[in-house]
Amino acid sequence: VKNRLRVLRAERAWSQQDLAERLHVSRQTVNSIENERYDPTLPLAFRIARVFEQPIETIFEEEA
Amino acid sequence: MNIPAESTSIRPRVLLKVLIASAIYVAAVRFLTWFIENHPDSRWRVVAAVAPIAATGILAAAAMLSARGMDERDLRVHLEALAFGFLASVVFVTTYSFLWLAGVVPMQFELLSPVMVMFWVAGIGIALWRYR
Repeated sequence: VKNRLRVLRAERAWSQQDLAERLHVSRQTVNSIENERYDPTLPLAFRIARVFEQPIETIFEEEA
Repeated sequence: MNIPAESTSIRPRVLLKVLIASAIYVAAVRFLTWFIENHPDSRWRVVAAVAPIAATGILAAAAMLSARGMDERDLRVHLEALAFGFLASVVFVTTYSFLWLAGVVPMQFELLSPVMVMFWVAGIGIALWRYR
């Protein structure tokens, strides 16, 4: 699954640690999601959408 | 799924502690084996024989408790590492057993726990590399 996490985070000038604290996960988890090495579960994906105040489908996109 | 307030992560320092603890465990078991074999009349033989069980139990409890503070990615790393450690240990024990039957190697039960821990640590390394 592709995602725009890195772009959205950069727009807000948040560090990975900042975002990790907002999501209650480790910085390594944010890094793994940004590098598209790890796909978050649905609950975490919804938390990400809530933190960025955007619909989930604008953040995550299924790879063709 | 419960979300930990502050998620911890699997850090190399933790793995180093596990490896050091495993080395101490092997040394302690070697000493206890020597003690049991060379003190057949000692009343401490039974205590010496069951001492490693307590140590192994504490290690297992520590591993379980450490998993409670992990987030979902680290739990997956933990799960994959346990699966790798278990399956690799099965392959190791099977191979070692046949080698023992063939008379190539001596039977050393006390090495099984450290070998499983080694495979578990290797599994963590592999999973961390996968989700890097």
